[in-house]
Amino acid sequence: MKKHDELIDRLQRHGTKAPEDFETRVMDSLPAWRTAPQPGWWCRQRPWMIPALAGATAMLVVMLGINRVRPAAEAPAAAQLVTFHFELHAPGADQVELLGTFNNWKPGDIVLNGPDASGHWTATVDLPEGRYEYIFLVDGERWIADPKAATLRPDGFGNVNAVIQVYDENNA
Amino acid sequence: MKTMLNILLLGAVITGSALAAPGGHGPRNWSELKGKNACLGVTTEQVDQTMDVCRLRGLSVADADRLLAPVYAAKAENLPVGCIYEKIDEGLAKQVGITNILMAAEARLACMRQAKVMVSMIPEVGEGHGAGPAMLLENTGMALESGLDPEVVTNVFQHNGHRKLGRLAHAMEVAETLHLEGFEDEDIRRVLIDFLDRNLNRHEMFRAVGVLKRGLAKGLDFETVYATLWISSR
Repeated sequence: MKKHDELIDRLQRHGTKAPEDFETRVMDSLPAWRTAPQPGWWCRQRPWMIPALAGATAMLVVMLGINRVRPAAEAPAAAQLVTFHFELHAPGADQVELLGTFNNWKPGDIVLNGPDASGHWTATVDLPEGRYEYIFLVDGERWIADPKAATLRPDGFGNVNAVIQVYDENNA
Repeated sequence: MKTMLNILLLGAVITGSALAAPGGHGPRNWSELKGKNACLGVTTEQVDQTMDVCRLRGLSVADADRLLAPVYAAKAENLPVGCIYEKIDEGLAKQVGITNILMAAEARLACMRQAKVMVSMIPEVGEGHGAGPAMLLENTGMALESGLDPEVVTNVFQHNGHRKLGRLAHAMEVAETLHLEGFEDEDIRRVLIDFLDRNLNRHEMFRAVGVLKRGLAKGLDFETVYATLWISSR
């Protein structure tokens, strides 16, 4: 450590001046790349930035293309509706309504057409696939479970509802 | 420091609002009752309809709130809500007495609770699979409500066949149908296990059920129809 201190001291006291063209000669001796101005950020990153940007753009185009081509597949699937035909033979009735789990048992929501010449009342309803209970309301006072229904279910109030399983045969 | 004070102030306001709200005393008017029902998972239209019918029936807000208690219980216990709401709507539409509507809704809630216990005991399925078991829960609960023997359900759930929740849910729907059609419990169990082993989807199950029903309607016995089931279904 002491040896270094002595050397520094000697150099500080050294009075010989450098030649006048010393700086020029030193600079001339340096390779050209050390003296040229440094390139900007873009130039330095260009070798890998161009392919990276090209890849990102291609990915963006592909993603947009996919969304454009198949919006239905990504959107929530619309319920497949199946047309179901309801019918009741009630020749003397003035009005027949249809209430069920498909319309939250709402009175007046579905009124059957009729009667035809043979006393039949009919309604056609589009239903999503599923299981439904229903009943006819005749003249606003008589509850009649569909006599043609294959399955009847106790309603918990001392009566029965008709049950249907709706499914699209084409989907089977 | 200032932010901390703001947070504390906001907390105090929220706490004060919660304490001041009539949560413990139930909704004070129809609007509050609608608000309470709006977050149950049923549609606004259905809530509006139910509230309107309650009003038309002359129910007070408190009475309507009491009538909907099984729905609130179902929601709190993560049970199907829609089918209990439907039962209340059905009772209201059919002009059934409020007590009887409440009893029917409570009965359905009890079936859903029983179904939940049974579903939670399915090997390698159990509880806590998000919204997946909702259909299975509801179909099982409905089958139990129709009077299907719980032992049939347990046997099917414990069977070592396919344990896809959807398949089991459809099997329960089929089970209820067969029960309502008058099939014997043992026959129902056998049919369901066969369906699950064959990994049938809903359409295929009901197509096979149709063959069974038509056979029985012709006066044939179950064994005879069953023996030809898979030939007929092709």
